[in-house]
Amino acid sequence: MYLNLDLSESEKMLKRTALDFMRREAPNETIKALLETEIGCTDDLWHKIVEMGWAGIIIPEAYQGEGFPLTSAGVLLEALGSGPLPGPYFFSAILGSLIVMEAGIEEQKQEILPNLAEGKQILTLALTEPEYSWESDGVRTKAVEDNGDFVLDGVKLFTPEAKTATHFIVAARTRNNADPVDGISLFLVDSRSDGLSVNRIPGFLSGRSFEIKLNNVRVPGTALIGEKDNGWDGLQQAITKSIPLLCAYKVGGSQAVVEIALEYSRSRVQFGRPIGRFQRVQDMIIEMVNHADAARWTTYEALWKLDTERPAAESIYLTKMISSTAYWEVCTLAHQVISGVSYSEEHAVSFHTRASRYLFHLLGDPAYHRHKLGQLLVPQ
Amino acid sequence: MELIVCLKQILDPEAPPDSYTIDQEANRIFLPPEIAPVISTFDETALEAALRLKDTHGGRITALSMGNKFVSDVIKKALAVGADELILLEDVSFEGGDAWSTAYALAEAIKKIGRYDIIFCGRQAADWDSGLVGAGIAELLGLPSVTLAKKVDITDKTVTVERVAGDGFEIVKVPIPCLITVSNELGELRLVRLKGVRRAEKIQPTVWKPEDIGADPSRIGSRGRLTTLHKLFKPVKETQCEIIEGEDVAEAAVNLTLRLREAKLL
Repeated sequence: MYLNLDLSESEKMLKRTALDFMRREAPNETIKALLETEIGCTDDLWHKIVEMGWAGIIIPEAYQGEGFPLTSAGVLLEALGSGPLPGPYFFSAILGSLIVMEAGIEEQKQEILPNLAEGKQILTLALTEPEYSWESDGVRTKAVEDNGDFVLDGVKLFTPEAKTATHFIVAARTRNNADPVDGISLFLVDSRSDGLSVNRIPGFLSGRSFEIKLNNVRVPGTALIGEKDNGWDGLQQAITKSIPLLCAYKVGGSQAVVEIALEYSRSRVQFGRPIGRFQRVQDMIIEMVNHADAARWTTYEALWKLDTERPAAESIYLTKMISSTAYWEVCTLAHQVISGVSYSEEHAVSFHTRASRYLFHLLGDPAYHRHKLGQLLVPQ
Repeated sequence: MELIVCLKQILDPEAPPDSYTIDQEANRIFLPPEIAPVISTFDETALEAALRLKDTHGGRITALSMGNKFVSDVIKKALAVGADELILLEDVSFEGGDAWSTAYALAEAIKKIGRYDIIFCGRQAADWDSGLVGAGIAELLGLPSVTLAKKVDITDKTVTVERVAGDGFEIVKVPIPCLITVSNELGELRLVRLKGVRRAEKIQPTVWKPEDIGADPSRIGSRGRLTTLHKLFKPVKETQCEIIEGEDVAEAAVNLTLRLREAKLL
């Protein structure tokens, strides 16, 4: 099969519907209101997302999902990113589902995946800690086996959407070993567990990013996702597959910002002509289009490789580097084109700027992925 | 209950005005290929009216459209939201028609379908805004028709329609079979769920040519027009700004009032 980045008939229909959903359910004033909350999503909005079938988009039909390919999910996330629609969608429906699909045993898939598809459970990943690392050696939280249960102790930092999640997937160390990959286990932890506290991290960049303190949190043995001590590989596979979908969200954000800046440059008249006719403004618009297109095509190439079961690691590292940088730069340039008003909290570009800074780091920043790509291309 | 909904695929009326080009010779409008067409929004509302009846009373919905070069992922939206069948009158000879030739072709197709209790149309197409096709179909089929519906329900064999009026709405009762044109006050067409996308993948439209419906070639498309389009053009809007001044706000307000009265706007 040759590389074909055309959307299928169904994907075009999905894209149109998702954009229509955003127009009806998440106009600018709604997004602004959601960004000011700790939950980023109302019950009503989440219910509508679930009704659309989107919570189960990548979950196989055998587990009550919709069984769409990752590229279709990319089309949907691109539309949601145009808002940008905040909330737990990516973390639960995409990353959470993938972790259960990649790391869970069959019984867990049968139990958890239908709940995710029906929106009854909302997941988020609690991985990073005060040392902040996306690598296995950053996992210091401990889980100790006790009479068939596990007792978790540690601090998770920068956990996204923790106030909305009903459950956390906590990466914890169940064994110390010279190889940091060995000894990491994954646990499904109820967000209402005794000994667990969630606090929002304040600040411009954090959005709805939280600190989770686990103080002797006891979970049953059935909370262990997959095999004890061997959780890291499944987690990595899930994160790797989810990255192009996160990038699709950034593609949607970048494209929306390009369109806002372009429209402004056509309608804002200064010195007797639209500012878009000035060469310097044109330069900035072209640079924005360049960034957005680069992000789009690397993202969809990575998704195509994943859907067609081709080796995709290079493309995934590449698209995370490119799309993170693209979203950041597109927003910066849009502020220069539009100037004053775009810095106000009510302006859509400012929503995107905050999202672009937060998502720049999520699941690894460009420097991290450049390093990973280097290791892949030139093995040490 | 058998429901038929007439849908028209049109150029996207929300496309930026400067993206349209007009062929002055042929009196036709074009959009660049990257801007996909849409189903006329009033027709989408008509489809929503049919879906609500189906939700409440059950039945079967046949979506019917006439034109040429249908875009599959656009027109199949009808199937994705719940229509049971999609019939396309698709042929180059259907192009260039007016309300009369369109009503004729659709009426012939409806005769071929044969079974119907209610035929739904949009109050007008969102491109030419004539608002004549629905009434034309009713006339050709000899059916009673109600225009501008904002709510439709059925009890036994009587359809109750709330019809938009200048100062509110009227309640009209009409026996089946009948034709109803639906206004935007009824509400937007529901969104396509993922299950609907799957559904649309599995159902292929039925395509009928003019000969399949026994249409008289001289009465369809551009040959069947009863109206003549003399000139198609983009209207030119000119705006002039006049600043009304005064020593203070009160005087400026008085001057503004005098100027508006002089211009016969007050």
